Amino acid sequence: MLFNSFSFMIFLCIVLVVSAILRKYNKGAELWFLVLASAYFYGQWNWTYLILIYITIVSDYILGLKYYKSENPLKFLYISLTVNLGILAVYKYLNFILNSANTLIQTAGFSYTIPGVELLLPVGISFYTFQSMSYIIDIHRGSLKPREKFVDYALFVSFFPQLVAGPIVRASEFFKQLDEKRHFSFDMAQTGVFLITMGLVKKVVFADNLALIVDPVFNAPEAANGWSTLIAVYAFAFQIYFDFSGYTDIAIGVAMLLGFQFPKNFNHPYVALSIQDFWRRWHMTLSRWLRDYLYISLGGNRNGAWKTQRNLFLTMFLGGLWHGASWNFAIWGVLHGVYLAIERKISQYQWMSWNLDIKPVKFLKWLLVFNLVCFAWIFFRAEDFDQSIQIITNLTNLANDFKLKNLYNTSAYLVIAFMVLHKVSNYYDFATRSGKMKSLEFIFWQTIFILMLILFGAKEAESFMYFQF
Amino acid sequence: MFKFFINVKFWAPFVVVALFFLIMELLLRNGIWDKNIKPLSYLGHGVYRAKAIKAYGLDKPNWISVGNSIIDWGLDHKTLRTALKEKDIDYIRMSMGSSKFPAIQMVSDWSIENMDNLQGIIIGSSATSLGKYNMLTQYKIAWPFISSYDNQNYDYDVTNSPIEHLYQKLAFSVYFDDIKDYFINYKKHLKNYNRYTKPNKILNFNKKMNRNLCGYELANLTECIETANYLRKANKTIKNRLAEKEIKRRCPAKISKKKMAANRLSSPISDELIELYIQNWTKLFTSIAEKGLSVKFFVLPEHPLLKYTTKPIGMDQVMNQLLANISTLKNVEIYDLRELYEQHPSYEICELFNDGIHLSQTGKQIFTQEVLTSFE
Repeated sequence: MLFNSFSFMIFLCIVLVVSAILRKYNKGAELWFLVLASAYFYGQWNWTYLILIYITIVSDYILGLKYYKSENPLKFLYISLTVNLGILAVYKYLNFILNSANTLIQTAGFSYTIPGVELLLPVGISFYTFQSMSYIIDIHRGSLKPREKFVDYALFVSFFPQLVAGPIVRASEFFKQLDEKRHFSFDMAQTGVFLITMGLVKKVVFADNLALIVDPVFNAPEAANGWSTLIAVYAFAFQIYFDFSGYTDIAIGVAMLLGFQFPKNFNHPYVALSIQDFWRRWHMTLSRWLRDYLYISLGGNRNGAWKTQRNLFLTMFLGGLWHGASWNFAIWGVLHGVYLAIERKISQYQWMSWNLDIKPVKFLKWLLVFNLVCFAWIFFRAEDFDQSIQIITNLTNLANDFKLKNLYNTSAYLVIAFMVLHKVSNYYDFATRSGKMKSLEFIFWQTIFILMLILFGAKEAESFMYFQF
Repeated sequence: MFKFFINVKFWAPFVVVALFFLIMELLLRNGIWDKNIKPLSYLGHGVYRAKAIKAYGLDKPNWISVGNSIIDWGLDHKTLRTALKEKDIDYIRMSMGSSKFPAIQMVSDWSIENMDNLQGIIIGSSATSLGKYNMLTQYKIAWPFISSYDNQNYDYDVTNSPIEHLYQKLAFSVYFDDIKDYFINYKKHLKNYNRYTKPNKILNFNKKMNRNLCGYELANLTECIETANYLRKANKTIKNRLAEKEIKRRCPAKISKKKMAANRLSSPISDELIELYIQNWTKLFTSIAEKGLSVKFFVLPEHPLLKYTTKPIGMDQVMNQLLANISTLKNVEIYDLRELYEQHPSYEICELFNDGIHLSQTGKQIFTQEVLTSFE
């Protein structure tokens, strides 16, 4: 069930009304209802794969309790990690591993091919697995007590607003909200509705229409020239931002209507002045997860410069693979790892820090960071390595297709896009101030958003990109 | 929480949006935007044609032509008008680019109802053009004739939801793209404003189709892919810009190879749709014939490029069945020009087509002559 579909709107209305009624009489019943509603939401995609989520939920729920009560608890942590990573390995990475092995075998001159396995990739598997893993790791670290009530844990992993594409919520953040009396107010409802509408605009109006520029080039890159490729690469940077941040806005808005607060996932990433800054602004809950549960587990920056660089590199490589079972995602992660490592190395030199706060230097830094991020997106979007190389080859032919008019148009659109983005970042951070908007301002923006959805919305309900992860 | 949903803050935006659409609907239906419509847009075709015909006099035309750009660009309307005038026949062009069944039905029925001296209709269609249409595009083309929209007798292939379909029939929806284009390309519109309407030119339309497909190897998909690759590498127009753009678009190596590998060059259409197209067209011919009007149905030729790239499997079946159904109708004459090139062996196929869809100047002369001969 897609957030940008009519059936989801009906589903949401029913969930809001029923949960409000149940909440009034019995909080436990409301939570069970939300668990069932989440199962129905996921089951609309595939009922069989619901079993997979419940294997994760039941095993981690039991293992969490066992860990806490046991005198030799480490084995329960290992079992949990094996189950979680095992499911992820089989359902997401098995064919990738087999294909890579086959390539190696054939490169070595053997004709044998290991047969592949036909498995459907479960929607949102990376998200709910990471969320569930963080629970058991937190118990192991002593920062969390296991939940006694199964319903609490089942809701934490399967809660429908964040089930398929995040934000990745920490167990402690979620359970705190369950333990305290949830707060409902007029302002929260206003913010929730506003975020849902804004998220729909980002997805249906911006992301889906940008796909019309991006898809023809990436579907047949050999037919595209340098300029159309350049425009498609920049357009994809915006498409993926609007797609994913739109999804997140809707998820946060829906959760808010049900009385839950989710962490922020985006903070105007394309105004970042360094790659590190970019990762503090892009998919913030994943960055936080990778830092807390992978980078720090690998040793973080505690064991000298070389090991810090290695840990950064490994974290980004695995972060890339987390997105999808393909070498292209790995390259995307590695590129960011390399960027971060170089950035870290450069920042150690004192002479590099002179005059960095003046506007022209800031502008150049922004330009470099934005273009490096866009370059990495090529590998993220392309279907395979050959296609990525074709896109890059097209870009190297820019000079052959050079026309002053093209340069003018591309620059003009980019400048306008960034001016709007900058304006929005500084003055209209809707997400944080929507609940405090006065009547006329709220009505004005809601009217504009609804009109945009009707007039400029893409006709077909397209799936969100991050659902595939 | 629920107080918000019954508060004016929640409902007001919906009310404002509803009022906006209501006001725009009233204004557009009263022609407030008609002077600014781009003539070559879908909407422009219908609106300017209706104006020109009304200015010319609805009681004058005896014969009209209907169909899409294949007949519209493929006929020398000026020559036809002049030649038929000598036979005391007043011929008027009502064919419009991208017209498919819904627009052809609306234009035909509207003309029968409003043109008192109408004696017959020239209908032109290729097998591919018999099916698959977008209703919004058809509403745009036939907007001035929409009073003849007849979903009681005809079963339109409406694939979208009833709400979306209702929205498509609103004036605002029909005019929206034109209004949007006006603001995006305002300089071009302002510059061309005075050239927007010339009734005489509209009726005596004769599009120049000076190019042809000779020099391009296009006998089958493999040749087309090779030609497309060659053109791509050349990275400039060799001879025929429109045709080269089309070849590159229709035969991109990756997609075409996938199609070839799947042994499925074109998508098949369902039996249900085949039946629906046959029924609709048969009903239209029958209805015109029953009203006492004559029909000359010209089955238009198609270049192989169209056949092996986009022509849906099943459309020839629709055409053959349709011809069988209407062949017995009184007042209906059929002129099957599908093998036009075999009937004129002195010409190569490539000489008869301007691009993969439309006839060239040579093709046009032959086709116009065929139409003239049918009146002898």
